Amino acid sequence: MTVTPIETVAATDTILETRGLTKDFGGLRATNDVSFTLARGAKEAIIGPNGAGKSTFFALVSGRHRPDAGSVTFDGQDVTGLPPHEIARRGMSRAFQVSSIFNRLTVLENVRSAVQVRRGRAFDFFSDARRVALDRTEEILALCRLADRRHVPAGELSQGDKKKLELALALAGEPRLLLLDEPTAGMSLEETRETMALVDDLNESHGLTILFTEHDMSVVFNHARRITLLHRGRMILSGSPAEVRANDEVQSIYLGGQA
Amino acid sequence: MSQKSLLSASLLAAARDRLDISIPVLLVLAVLFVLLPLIPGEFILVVGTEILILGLFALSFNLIHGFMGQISFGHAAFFGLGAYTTALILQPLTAAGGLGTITFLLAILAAVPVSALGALVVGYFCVRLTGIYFAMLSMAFGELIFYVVFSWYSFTKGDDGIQGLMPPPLLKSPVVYYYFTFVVVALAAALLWRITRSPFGYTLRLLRDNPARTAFLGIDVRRVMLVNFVLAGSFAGLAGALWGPFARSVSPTLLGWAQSGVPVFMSLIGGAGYFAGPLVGSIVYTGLNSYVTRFTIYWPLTIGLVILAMVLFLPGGLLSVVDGWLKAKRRGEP
Amino acid sequence: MSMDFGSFLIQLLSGLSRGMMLFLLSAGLSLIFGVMNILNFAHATLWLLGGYITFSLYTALATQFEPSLLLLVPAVLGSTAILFVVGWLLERFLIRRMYGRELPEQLLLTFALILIIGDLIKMIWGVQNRRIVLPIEAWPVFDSFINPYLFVIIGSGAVVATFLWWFLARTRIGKIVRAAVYSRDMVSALGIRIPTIYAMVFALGVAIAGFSAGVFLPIIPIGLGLDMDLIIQCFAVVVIGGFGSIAGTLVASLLVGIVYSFSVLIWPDGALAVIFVILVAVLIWRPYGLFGTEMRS
Repeated sequence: MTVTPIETVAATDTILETRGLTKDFGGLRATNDVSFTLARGAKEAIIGPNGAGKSTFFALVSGRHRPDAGSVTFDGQDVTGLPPHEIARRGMSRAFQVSSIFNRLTVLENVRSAVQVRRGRAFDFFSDARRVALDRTEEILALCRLADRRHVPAGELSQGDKKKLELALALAGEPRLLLLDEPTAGMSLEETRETMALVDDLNESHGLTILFTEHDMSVVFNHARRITLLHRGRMILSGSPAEVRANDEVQSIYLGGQA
Repeated sequence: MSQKSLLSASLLAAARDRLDISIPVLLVLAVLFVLLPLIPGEFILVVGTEILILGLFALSFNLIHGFMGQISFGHAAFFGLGAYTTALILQPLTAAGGLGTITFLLAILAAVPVSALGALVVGYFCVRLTGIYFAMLSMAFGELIFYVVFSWYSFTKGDDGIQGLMPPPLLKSPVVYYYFTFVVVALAAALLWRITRSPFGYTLRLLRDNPARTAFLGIDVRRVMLVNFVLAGSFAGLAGALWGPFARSVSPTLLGWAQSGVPVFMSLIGGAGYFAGPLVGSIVYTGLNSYVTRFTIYWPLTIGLVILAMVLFLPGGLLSVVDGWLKAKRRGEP
Repeated sequence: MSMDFGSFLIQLLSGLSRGMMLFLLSAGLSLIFGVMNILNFAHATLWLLGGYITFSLYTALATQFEPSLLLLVPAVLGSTAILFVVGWLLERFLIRRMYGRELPEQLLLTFALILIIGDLIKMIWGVQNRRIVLPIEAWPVFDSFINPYLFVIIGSGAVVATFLWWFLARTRIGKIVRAAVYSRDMVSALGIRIPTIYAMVFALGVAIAGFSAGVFLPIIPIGLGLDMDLIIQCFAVVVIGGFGSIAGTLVASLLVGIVYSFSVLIWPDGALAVIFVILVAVLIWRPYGLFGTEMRS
């Protein structure tokens, strides 16, 4: 994508900023006054025990839910309350915790269709879909190590491969910000290592900003450069892995909660 | 639940092998349709024409069902709008005795924008919902349009329908009208085939498999659904346009819920997962209808039992049997 | 147009009674959908069957006894019982096979039932309309006459609605049914026989439909095709009220019933259209109905 002068003006060092983000479900305040800032090029994690509001936070940022209060600014634009497709078009991609893929299509068709959508071909009625946007499709398949599975229907993939496809679909959106909801859930150790190596590579070599949640603390502490802790919908603290590791409150929330 | 896993297994099996059996099926059908008039007698031409018209109607429906994953129980409204548009243009011309071939073709084509407009209005509301809500609302709108046509006597002649329709002299003989229908339906089917295999066709499949995720890829789901609804309505309108001159009249039943059931049944019988499924379904449904109604007035009961059996024992449709058989053979299994 | 108070009252009452019947039908539809996730397109056709059975029972009784309102009671109760059995059998042999199947297949199965039951009705009762004429004197009210039977309909509808509420809220089985709406696994983990519950819920919904048809027979002649009009109105009711909300169903039923009743007077052919205007307005304003919430997937 060519960078126009206007975008250069609008672009700041902050790619994502939420202010006072709040969401209630029934009586439950799932997200409570969260003000969060993510720098361009960052690779950060959001952690918290079950029900801490990580998924709701992602849902609010990506447009799945509309916040009751607060705002979301993405790449200098106010995107509060916009529907998911509008936010996706602006360059935010999301991969889901429970893999949400297109079961009856093959791996190739999954990725190819996602790339075609990104390339503005969703309303192309007459081209042969098998011949559109193949270069980028192959690139992504190779990147996500799915090339040898290309003709397998997505519904038949192993859990680990489904998560890889999940990531591939997110990458097809050519995002500037990638939200990954537990990218390694259900993966083997080997697959986890592979996937996180890819995440690191995307961040370092391709300059992609990445925000992820994860249950596996070793993944979090080894791969995130900064960690934010949510607890009962509130943002408790944000700091480097070393700071978070040393923090008493983290200890009490995590260890206290599990003891 | 075991039935669920059984079903998803069969769906996956259908996707596993990428050879589309619709290609050989369509080729065989094309040859059969061309040769059909060799069978003596006029009745076979009548049945053949009906199979083609309703087959196109069912193909258009399957754009919504098989490819987009929604089920419309009001699709006959657009078939009927098309039929009435053409009929209302043709009737005075036919009565005056001056119907030319070009005028006739224009009258057929005029049905398309009218049905498209109808589908745009109905679709605008239906695409706000999915699943059962979509099904209920489409049926309700279909019935509303039925009542409008039924009650608006001064314009539509209400229950009496519009009588005395006729193809122009050049197309009047049953065999010529049959081939004319064949050409129109074949062209429309080719267009539909192209659309279902285009990037747009795959956008529809994304919606079918996982509408929520599709939005996160950057697709305005409602907009895609609406465009497809209008496309499906347009093709249904074209099919409807062919009906009046063939049946010599149109009546409000063409827009009713029973008529809306027809493409649903055809897709199920042939196999909604296959492009050619609805056409195969039309051959079986229309064929049965033409011959069974000679022996019994209880056609709904008959087709109801057929549907029941299909749903219970053969949910993938007839083509899934052929498909499975071919694949087993290719793999060298017994 | 001007309307005097008497005819206004008549339209209001007939609207209320129509609304009550729509409520009984839609409540059964919603209950079955809520518990088993099956949308029964044939619900109103079963309603129609209930009406015909009531007609036959009443006609048979009327050959032995003096026709009266009292004679309608065993006819309606008999038909309700028969419909309960019909519903139970349908669930046991057909509907049960559709749990967990894809939506289009479920819809098709019940759609096929419309055709089959409709033709069975045609075989048994023919195509002419049927009704029961009760020997009841109309009450003069202001300048008009009110059929007091309307109060019977509204009253019996209210009784059944209250029974349904009591059943769901107060009885053990009712609580299990409600629990099943939220979590099937939990209920079956408690050691409760889910298949029996499902069969009972389906049979209950169908029986209530049969009851409402029987009760309605003295004011509306029934005939083939009426089932389709009614199922459409039920759909309008559940879309307006919001699926799964009994309160929403009640409000929407009465609304649709009353609006229909007044529209018929003013613009007979457009009554359904008026309901649609409401439907469309609700859809734009609140896509999941007045009382409904977006279903979580």
